[in-house]
Amino acid sequence: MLQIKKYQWLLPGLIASVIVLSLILLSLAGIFEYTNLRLIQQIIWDDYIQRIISFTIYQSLLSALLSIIIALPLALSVRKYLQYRMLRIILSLAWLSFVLPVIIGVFAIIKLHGVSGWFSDISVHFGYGKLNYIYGMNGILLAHIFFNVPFAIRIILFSLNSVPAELWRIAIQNNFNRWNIFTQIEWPAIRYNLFVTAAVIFSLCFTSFVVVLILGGGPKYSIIEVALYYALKIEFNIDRAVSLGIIQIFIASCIVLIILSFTKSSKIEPYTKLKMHNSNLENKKAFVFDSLMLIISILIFFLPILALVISCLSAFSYVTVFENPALLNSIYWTLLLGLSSGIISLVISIMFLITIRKLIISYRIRWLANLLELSGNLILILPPVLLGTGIFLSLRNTYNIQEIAPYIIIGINTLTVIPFTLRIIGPEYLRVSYMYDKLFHAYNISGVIRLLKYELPLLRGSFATAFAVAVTLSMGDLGVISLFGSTEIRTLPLYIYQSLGSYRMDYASVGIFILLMLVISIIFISEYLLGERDD
Amino acid sequence: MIKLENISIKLDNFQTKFTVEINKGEWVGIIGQSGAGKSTFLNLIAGFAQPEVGSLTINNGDMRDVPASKRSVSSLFQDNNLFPHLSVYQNIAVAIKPNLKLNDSEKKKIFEIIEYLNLSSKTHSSIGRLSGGERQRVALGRIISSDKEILLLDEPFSQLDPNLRIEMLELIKQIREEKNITIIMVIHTPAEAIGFVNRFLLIKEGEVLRDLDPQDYRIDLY
Repeated sequence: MLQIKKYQWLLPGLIASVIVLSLILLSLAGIFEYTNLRLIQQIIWDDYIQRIISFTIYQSLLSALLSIIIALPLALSVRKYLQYRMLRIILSLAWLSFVLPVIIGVFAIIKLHGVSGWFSDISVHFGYGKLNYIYGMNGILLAHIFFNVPFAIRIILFSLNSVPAELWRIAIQNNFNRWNIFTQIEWPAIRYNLFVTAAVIFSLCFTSFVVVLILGGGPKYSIIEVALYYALKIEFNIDRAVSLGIIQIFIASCIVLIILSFTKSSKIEPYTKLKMHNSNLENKKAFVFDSLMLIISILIFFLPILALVISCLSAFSYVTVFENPALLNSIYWTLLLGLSSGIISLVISIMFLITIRKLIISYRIRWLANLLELSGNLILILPPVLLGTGIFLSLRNTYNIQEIAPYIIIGINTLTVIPFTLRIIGPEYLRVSYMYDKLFHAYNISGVIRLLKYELPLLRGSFATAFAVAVTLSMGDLGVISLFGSTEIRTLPLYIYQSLGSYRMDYASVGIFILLMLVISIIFISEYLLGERDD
Repeated sequence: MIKLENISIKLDNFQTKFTVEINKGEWVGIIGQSGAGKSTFLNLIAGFAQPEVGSLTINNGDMRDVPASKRSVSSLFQDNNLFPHLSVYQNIAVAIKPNLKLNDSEKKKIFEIIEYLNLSSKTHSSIGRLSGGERQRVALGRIISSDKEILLLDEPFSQLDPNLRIEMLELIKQIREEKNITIIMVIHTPAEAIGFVNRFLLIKEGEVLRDLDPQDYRIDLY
């Protein structure tokens, strides 16, 4: 009995692992049930499939490269002015484009760059005719830059934050110029994370379902996941869907393996917080360059949002919301499914981390901790649409899918956001544990008391960010809800997508506006009211 | 000479008001309780903090609009004095040319400093392989190579053991005698510095409360 009690800390991690693995295995079982060798051979030699694979890799590579090239100078310029509150607020808002439901971002891009968008209107105004460049590769790249550059900026700033204040001061006293600062301080601090970030962006673009579905503009610019969706939902060609699924699993596994092999374990050393210095390293030329970068950042991220908000406001009216039951129903389901997934993913992440912490700090069994963390991240090889396809195939003969759809949607969305919540909370959680573990032991503070009374207040910021990211990502899902949704169970993204499909731009605009408000409210409540901002 | 007159800056609980003169070539120990404003005192001289009012002159030159990079001041901190990705040689070289492209005479100078610090066997070692004392010696090497007139030390040896602390103080004494530099040192254990500093300045709530001969130092002064 005493022995069991001694190892009860293993339980939370194991239960979390079992929950995650059960859903993944259920999905894989469904996919492999329909798999046969002949089918795979046939698919591999299919010209269409080969073209889709090449395009998927090509667009992901280009998107990742462009995002990093754009993010690097922006981040280096932004860092110098972080002491200004206004810039920190702008940065938090720019972060929106990463957690923003993809459909909102895509809609914003269309409102700015589309055939009837602002740029097109300006072109017409000057007598050059309408601009038609948004559909296809251009649109996909524009959207991926819009979504991923803020993410890359955030990671770069985080890496720079680990540079001790003393090194900046040494640089000042030794007259480092801009290039010296970059080569001796900034580049050594960011180079490692930059590669990992590029790999993560690559994998995000690789499975960029909504962007390619809406902006791809046809089969020529389709990625594997979109082709899979068409095969299942439009053609109901299960053989093709399953084959595409297997190809997707294979390539995604390779990508994840590459990322993991280059990813160090969670950073646990306490870092000195970057003390903002009124830099006198910079001359006027640098100031002009930095200002230019700040203006470009604002233009990239806020012009589309501005176009979106203006368009939504003009379509918004009391009648379109409160006399539209379908819209009200969508709001209800968006909140219910999003909040459920957000809360459950947070709980599962904490369960993982309780065990991981004990394994690393008390028992120093790093490999087991890594294995456990890997099980939480395994979902990265199964994008939501594919996971949903597998679960659908597994359960369709046993259950009435429509009846259990909400649970399936919550389950899949929960699994999808766990890698993000683990990544956000994990490093801080371990850092706090390292700092206070002896104190907790000395005063015999453990279990729920330790979590709620001590760790939660210490980690408020991380928990709040993780919660905001988890809820907003779940609320913004379009892939899974497209597979399992119906007229009764419909979230705002599905409502918007269907409105766009039936050319009801006014309905779509209002839906977009409400979704945007919900997301902003969630982020605001989480980051500014529940958690302290930690810039 | 360093001259501070009513230098004021707002800290968490109080406003500083430093007034003091430090002569060229002097070695001054700064003592006081935690949060008294000792590090702020150094930051003001280095130019890392800007005073709201008051005047600071170094060698009769007004420092008000002189940025930190243009002051003849170098600093040695408690930690993080070195660039972790650079070798011992490169860490010392950054003070001469941050791009590390040195000519022959500059290279010779670095090797001489390394030898002077008794670090020849570690010339191309990475910083991660050095002990705490060796790291601080490398940092001192960088300061020697920078040829600056004023050295600010912010509890630089508090993480070293007592013997090593004395050894480092001896090394600084030697450098000071050879280069006639002015040293201002925030120190955690004043008793150890008694044989080295010319005087102590006791700082309390942002003011220089007392100017002490090292022989008059007593623990109950705080």
